[in-house]
Amino acid sequence: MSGLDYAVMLGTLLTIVIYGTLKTRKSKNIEGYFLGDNKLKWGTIGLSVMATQASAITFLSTPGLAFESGMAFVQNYLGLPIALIIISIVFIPIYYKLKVYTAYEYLERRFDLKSRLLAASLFLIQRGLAAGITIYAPAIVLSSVLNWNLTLTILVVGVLVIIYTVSGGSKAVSLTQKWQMGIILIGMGIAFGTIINNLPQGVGVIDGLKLAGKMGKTDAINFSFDVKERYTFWSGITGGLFLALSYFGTDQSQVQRYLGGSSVRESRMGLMFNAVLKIPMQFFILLTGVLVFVFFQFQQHDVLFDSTSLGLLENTESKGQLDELRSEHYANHDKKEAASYELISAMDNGNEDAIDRATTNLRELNAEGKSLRNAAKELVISEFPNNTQRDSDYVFITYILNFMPAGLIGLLLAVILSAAMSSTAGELNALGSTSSVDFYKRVIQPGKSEKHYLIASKWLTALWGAIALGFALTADLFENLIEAVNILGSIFYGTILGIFLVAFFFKFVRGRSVFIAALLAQISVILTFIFFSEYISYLYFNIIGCGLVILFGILFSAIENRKPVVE
Amino acid sequence: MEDHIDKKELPSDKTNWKKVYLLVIGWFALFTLFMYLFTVLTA
Repeated sequence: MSGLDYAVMLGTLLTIVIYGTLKTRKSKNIEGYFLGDNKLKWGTIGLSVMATQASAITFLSTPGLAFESGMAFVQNYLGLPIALIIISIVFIPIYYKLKVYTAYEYLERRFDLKSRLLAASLFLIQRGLAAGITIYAPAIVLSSVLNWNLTLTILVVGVLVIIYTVSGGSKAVSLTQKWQMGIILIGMGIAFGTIINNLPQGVGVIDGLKLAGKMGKTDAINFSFDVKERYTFWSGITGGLFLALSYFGTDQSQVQRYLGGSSVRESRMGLMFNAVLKIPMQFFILLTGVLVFVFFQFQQHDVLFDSTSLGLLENTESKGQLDELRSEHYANHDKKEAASYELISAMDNGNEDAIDRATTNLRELNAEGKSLRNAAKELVISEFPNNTQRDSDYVFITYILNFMPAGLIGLLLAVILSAAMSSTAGELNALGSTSSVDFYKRVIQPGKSEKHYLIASKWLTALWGAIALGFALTADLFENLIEAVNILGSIFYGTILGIFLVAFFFKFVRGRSVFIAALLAQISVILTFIFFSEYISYLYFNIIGCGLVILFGILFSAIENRKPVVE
Repeated sequence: MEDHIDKKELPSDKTNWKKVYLLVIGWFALFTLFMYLFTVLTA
């Protein structure tokens, strides 16, 4: 990485952070601090909602996911537009009418304090842990490939985010997210353009996409009814709908983004902005990964994209095995390159027999290449058992660092770090508001002055920042926890959504019924996950959790209502 | 509590939301069709 790249990267990041901090440091009360004085317009809300959801790992892992297994992941988002319309119609007017700071505040007004605290606690556990990973996951990849110190990378990113989030609150978060998302969109557009430009002479985009299609990488829509398949049209439109309803409608990190709007109209338009653009954006990021796959059919790379792990392996007794795998891999690549040209030429000529032969040949070579990569990864794990990072996470960053021009590398790194900062900021801001409004102000220290709560909110936001940093700094000690935290989201979301849907649509259900229903539903989802996770796609856990809360809520309510008659 | 929620009024908003939501759903259907055609045509 050149000096120019460092200048572009640091210049971009620091300009946004300094601008956001200076422009928003004067909040007088918690309304200004957590709702940005309700002055935000729909463009800022829309970009801010998008930036909160898109973490750095979205831009590192998603192209790698498409490289590895194609574009089916886009179906995860199919329920999103419908969910955002439902939130616009049902959730937003209620939040505005009650002038709430957090989504959970509504639950106390509708049910009781314990339902509010239950939902707020589930949110704090899940987001508190996730905030650390939002910083750690990209830091481990970037520090590895760029030879940066991991601790320093985490500290710099984390401390910068804490400074502007604590100082300016929600307004600073939304303002910086707007600019960060702008940089992200521009950077990804440029990366896409360079990949097309870097395809070998005589291989156009259409040729590349057809080749990827023959290798099964362009299956964006799959109408299969098989519930074991992780991403299908049906799992996306049903499970994805519940996931999006829960995330955008009840997760404070998102609710806080649109509650800062100057009116219901601005908040709704901000969500519609996402309803229109989110799926095309994910499609485009996955398509970038597919084109990187095509690019590496012609361009030689090492047996693993994670070059740091390979470097470490060279100094162990496994070096001999690594060398053998490497020579097999290079031979495989040469054959793959020739087979790719052969397939493109057959497709140009329209000779069906030749196309079938070349497709089968290239598929076999890609399968062989994949098994060589897997063998190399196993070799790394056998020497370094803690190294469980997926090699696909290194695909896109390898492309950026080795095949993009100087200056643009810095811009793309600014994209990845901006994404890390913007999603972490949204999370810390929401953790701060939930702990100060739902717990501190409501339960621990009620009846104090506005100034007192403003100072307490800043301290609580800083405390969550410190917890996230602490978790990020020690995350490498317990790798498996990271996956557990990611799964935790899917396990809790259904229950939280269920509580809210009962609140909105089943007005005869009271607080005690919904509280017990939520606890039982949560236990049932955890047991389903433990015993049946192999058979059911994780997206369906959202439907199960939500459905059980509604079912149990109605059932307990019916029993509760019958009690006086029996007596 | 529900009564309290229902009684409060929000400032009037002249946007034709039904039209906005239909446009969004139309765009979603169109983009899904595009992705399906993309899948079929590149297969």
